[in-house]
Amino acid sequence: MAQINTADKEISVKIVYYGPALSGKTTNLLYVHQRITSKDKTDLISIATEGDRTLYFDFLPLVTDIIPGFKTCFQLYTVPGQVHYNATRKLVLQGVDGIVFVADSQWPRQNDNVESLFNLKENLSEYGLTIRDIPYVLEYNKRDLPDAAMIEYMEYLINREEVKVPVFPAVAITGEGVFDVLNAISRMVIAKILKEINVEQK
Amino acid sequence: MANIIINEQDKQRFEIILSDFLKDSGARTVILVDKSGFVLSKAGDFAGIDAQSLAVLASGSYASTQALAKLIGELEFSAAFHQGKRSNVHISLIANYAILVAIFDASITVGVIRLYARETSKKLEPLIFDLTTRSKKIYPAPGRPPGSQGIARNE
Repeated sequence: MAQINTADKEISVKIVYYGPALSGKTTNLLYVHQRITSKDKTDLISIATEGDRTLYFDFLPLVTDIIPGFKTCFQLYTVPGQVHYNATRKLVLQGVDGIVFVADSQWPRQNDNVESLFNLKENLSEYGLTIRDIPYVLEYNKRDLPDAAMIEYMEYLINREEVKVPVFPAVAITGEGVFDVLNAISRMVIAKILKEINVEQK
Repeated sequence: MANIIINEQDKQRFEIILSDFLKDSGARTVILVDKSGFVLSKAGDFAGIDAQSLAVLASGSYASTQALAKLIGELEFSAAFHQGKRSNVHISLIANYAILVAIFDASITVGVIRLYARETSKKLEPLIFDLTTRSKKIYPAPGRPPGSQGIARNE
């Protein structure tokens, strides 16, 4: 859930990058971190193994003025993708406001994408949530690789909800599509919060 | 999940309680964080410390401590303590919603911090309860659940 501080004019929201191991979640955050030029830039926090695989989470705060008069802080997290880290993956989802599912486009990884999405739904259910309750977009990463599956096939496998969610082809390592994804999820999250505030005021 | 809204009155109430905690306990820095890692309030010396990063890491650390408690059959650990050479960190749970993170010099004993953290927790519980019920989210009533007096040490 978002935090709205009317005293300090600040809104904080939590966006989690989810997906199978090695799909490029951390790479997304690294690219965003590289491109931040504001004076508010802080270090990217990574709790990783010695082999640079995410152990707990990566964290990047991104301060924007997307809502006039308010400082809006997007707290970007990744989860560890490896199957055996489910306990910590679940913890990172606590209080989530928006989800980016980073799928690996390579043919041999399609099963992993499906399993990870199933795992996301299962973990959300432990917080009493479904994927339909939360703003959610799909990033089909590694589109530059020769063995990338057709987007239509990935849609058939992953984008199966009644209402299709926004999809973004990406090459996170070069930054292609990274900000399209971030802009989309940010707008969706903010729109939901503003709608909820309006409903509460009525 | 309902959004949490902190108004001017909440802000002032939190700040008074946290400042009193610093005065009484001698701790250097204190920050009140919700379980998702969002900062609710803070007081004291933050020179060279990014409050948001501190909040996120403390909530992550506490979340894994809680998971560990469940794994060994405890309902929860009500506090965690990290000891360094010059500074220590004490983390305690408040009203099952927020955590109080105190950073203090090694010259102060953890017992003193724990004592004042408990007192501060009692003062904060009604405010946290008010905040969460106002935000239409029902949390367990203030007060520690039974059997949750364990301390996790990471020294």
